[in-house]
Amino acid sequence: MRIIKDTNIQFMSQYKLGAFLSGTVIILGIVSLIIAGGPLLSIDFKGGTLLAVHFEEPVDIDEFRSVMGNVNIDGESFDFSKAEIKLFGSPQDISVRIPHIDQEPDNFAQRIISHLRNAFSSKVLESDFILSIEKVGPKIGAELSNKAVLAIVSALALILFYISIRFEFNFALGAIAALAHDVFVTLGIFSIMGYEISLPIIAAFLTIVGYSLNDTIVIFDRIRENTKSMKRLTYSEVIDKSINNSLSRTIVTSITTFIVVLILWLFGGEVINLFAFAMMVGIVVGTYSSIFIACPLVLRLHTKTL
Amino acid sequence: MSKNLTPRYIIIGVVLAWALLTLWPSVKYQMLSSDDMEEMREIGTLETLENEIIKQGLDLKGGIYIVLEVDLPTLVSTLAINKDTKFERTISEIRNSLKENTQQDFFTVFSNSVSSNGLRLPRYYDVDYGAKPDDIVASLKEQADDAINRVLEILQNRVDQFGVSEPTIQKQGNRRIIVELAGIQDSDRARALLQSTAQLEFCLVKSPEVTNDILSQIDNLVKDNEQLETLVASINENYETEDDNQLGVSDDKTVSISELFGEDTETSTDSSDTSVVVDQNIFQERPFSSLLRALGNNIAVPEKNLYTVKKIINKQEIQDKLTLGNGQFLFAPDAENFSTNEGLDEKLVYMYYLEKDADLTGGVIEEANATIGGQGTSAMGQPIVLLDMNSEGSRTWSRITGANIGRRIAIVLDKKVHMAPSIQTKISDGGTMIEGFAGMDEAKDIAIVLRAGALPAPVNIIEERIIGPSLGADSVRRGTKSVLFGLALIIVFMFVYYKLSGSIANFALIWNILLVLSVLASLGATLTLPGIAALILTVGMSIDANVIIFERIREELRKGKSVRSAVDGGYNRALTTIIDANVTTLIAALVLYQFGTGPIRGFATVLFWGIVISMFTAIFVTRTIFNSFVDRKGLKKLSI
Repeated sequence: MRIIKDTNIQFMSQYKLGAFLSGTVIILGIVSLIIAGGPLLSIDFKGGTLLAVHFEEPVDIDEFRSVMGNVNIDGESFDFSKAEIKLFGSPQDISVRIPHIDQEPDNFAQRIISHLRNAFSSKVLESDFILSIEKVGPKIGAELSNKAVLAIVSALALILFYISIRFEFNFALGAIAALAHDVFVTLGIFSIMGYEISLPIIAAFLTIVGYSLNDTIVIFDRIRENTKSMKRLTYSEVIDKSINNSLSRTIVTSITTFIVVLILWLFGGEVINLFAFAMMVGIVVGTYSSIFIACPLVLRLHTKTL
Repeated sequence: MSKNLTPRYIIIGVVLAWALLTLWPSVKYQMLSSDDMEEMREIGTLETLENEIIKQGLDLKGGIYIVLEVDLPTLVSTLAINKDTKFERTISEIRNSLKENTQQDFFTVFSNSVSSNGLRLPRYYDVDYGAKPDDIVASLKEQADDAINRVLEILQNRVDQFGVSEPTIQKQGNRRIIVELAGIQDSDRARALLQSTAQLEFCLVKSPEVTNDILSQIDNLVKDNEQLETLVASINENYETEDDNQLGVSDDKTVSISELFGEDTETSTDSSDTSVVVDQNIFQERPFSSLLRALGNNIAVPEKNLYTVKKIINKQEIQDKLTLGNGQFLFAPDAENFSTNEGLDEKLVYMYYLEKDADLTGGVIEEANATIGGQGTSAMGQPIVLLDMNSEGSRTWSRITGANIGRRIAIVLDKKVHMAPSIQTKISDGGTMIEGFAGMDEAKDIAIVLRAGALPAPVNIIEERIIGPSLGADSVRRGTKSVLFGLALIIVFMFVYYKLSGSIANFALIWNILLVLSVLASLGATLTLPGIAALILTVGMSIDANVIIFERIREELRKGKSVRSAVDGGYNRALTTIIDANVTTLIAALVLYQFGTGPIRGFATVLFWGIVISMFTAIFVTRTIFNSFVDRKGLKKLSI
């Protein structure tokens, strides 16, 4: 069985279409990022408290919100009704995100939990109430952001170095441009969807980087090989030929990997959901960028250096 | 390529045997019933088995992850002598500066503040720390490093006695400690156990006259401070309306604190006839005292006033006053219910005015045991902790008790007053009893922390993640389901698309997963939820390697090559592609491992081994199988 027969698509002459498509998505993403005032960061980076609780029967979000409006801790009354309150995967599970406050009382999260437990006592099963509590101090948050940026930058630098050695510097630039494109597009889509960037999402970003590279390099490898054997063709034709040669592999791999991540997204559960979403976007964008971003750039750099 | 394939089969066989052997304990563990487990626990073989299985991360098992940091400002302040207002001010200035910019190094801020405030360090640290300020800072740094190691040791001790299976306690950098407790349900208890500095102090309670004096001084300060007065007034207004509507307390019940302490206190502590006094009228005159209640010969704070009272006490000018008088205000650990004359309940917290310096500290404790108070004692039937002191402690204790008969002494644990009995007689054997616990669990935990010793400095929880057992179980169920489902789909796809060759790839895929799991088991690595995600990704990567090879073989076949040369050519050409593509992903995995913590590391570990193993299975294992097909004579057509 073959999905892709021998093809001869002229990708390089379509680069304008690619540039237009990517440009639009990236600009939309940037607009959304500007409106939102930067990417929506999770408590991992900003500090704060995230609680997820489970009720025995569905609880009305508004009722929950009003209960959170008056939390009494040691005589001090707190109003958390403005906190981000949303369903956590099912109508019986609710998560609350509270930004970091100065001079937080002791056992802050635990006391909010017991406040909720009292307020909804009839709907709470003692042993099963707490799904998760995450509390990150502002200090850790700032550190994690620095680490995340450092991780992405150093990964890119090392990869640039490796490709420069194995191929040529132009290829490295093409690959890096494709990667930056992928990360920007995913970041933009996250912003448009209103999804937040947490630590696992950074891991997803790095995996996208790895995956997109994998894809780019398979094509580059073919270009390197074909440049030697097809000396009579123009560089542009060689690139087109190489993309067509590896197209079958690109499609099969993308489909299989996509299926796997899709299943993870559908059935993996609330905790892994956004991670899988980032990966799905990454696979589509990564495959696309290898062909429409990395290759045209290599071509352009090549003609300039000649 | 018609080499002898036997050595290759031997290698593959050995690796397969090793993988199955390493995975066997995990399979066995999964099949154990809870009865079997209990039995094995008794004979002690369960622990050995648990060491050999794939460990599940906290996000799968449920549990607590806590990052603690030593409170350096407090440590430095504790080590100082001759502390005065200037010193205390500098320390609180440093605290604020650290709060504003969290990325600063404590000792840099410390040195800067000290020099900008003109603090002469040699005045506050004795000669052992060095003569020059720089030397002192250097020795303080050493003390801080030493402190974290002691904290680590003490926490290990405490957690061991608490009885958790497989606790992880490790140092991160040189200021932090990460504690992971799997399967713990009661997070409050665990936190208390970790965070308690276990600083036991015996402080004399100041006399009623002195207490009264400081209260009126604070009253005057509050009156002079508009901001504070408004705060107090707003609270009192609330009371007035509340009182009018509900309590109906009349003015003649009002007794000022001064009146109370004016007479000799022979008040009964029996709570049934203790009246709760609402000091309404005097709040104009004595704004601070009006927030308090007199309860027998004790002062108490209604729980709803607690926040305001603490806020006022923590004001700098009042702290200065307290430093001057060498005193401190401390509170009881919990609020207690008291009935007013009208039969309404009010929650009150005892407040004590104590000598600032402890007469004796917990360092002298030799043994601490939780038990139930015996008959005839004040704590009959209540959980108590019995203390035994070493000889030095016993001597001091006997001297203090002997010299202060009739006075009250507070037993303070972690800055909370558990009790403040009057000293009846001289205690010479060092035996002491602490009461005032919420329950037996608390008494037990406190006995643990007292036995394990005090922390050299308080620790702050700067990161905390608690995963409830149901969320973890849900994640495992869904994760496993997704992996199996995804795997099934891919296997079907590969078989349909590449037929017999696809089956070889599928065989390699299953092999791949088994190998990754056995590597995890033998490394003692932890499988986290992101780890499961990485496993799924590995499945994709492993398939990719095979797809690259198969597409190449198909190309070669289309060029009209024989089966053997097509297979050889396909593999040879695909090899560089696979290596280049995988090495770049490996780089990403290594970077993730380097920068990540906890679950992210779990992801990186699985991704790393997944890629390495998929290269092995795709290049070595499937090739061997292909070759054995190709070597058979008369193979004209390859099923691909």
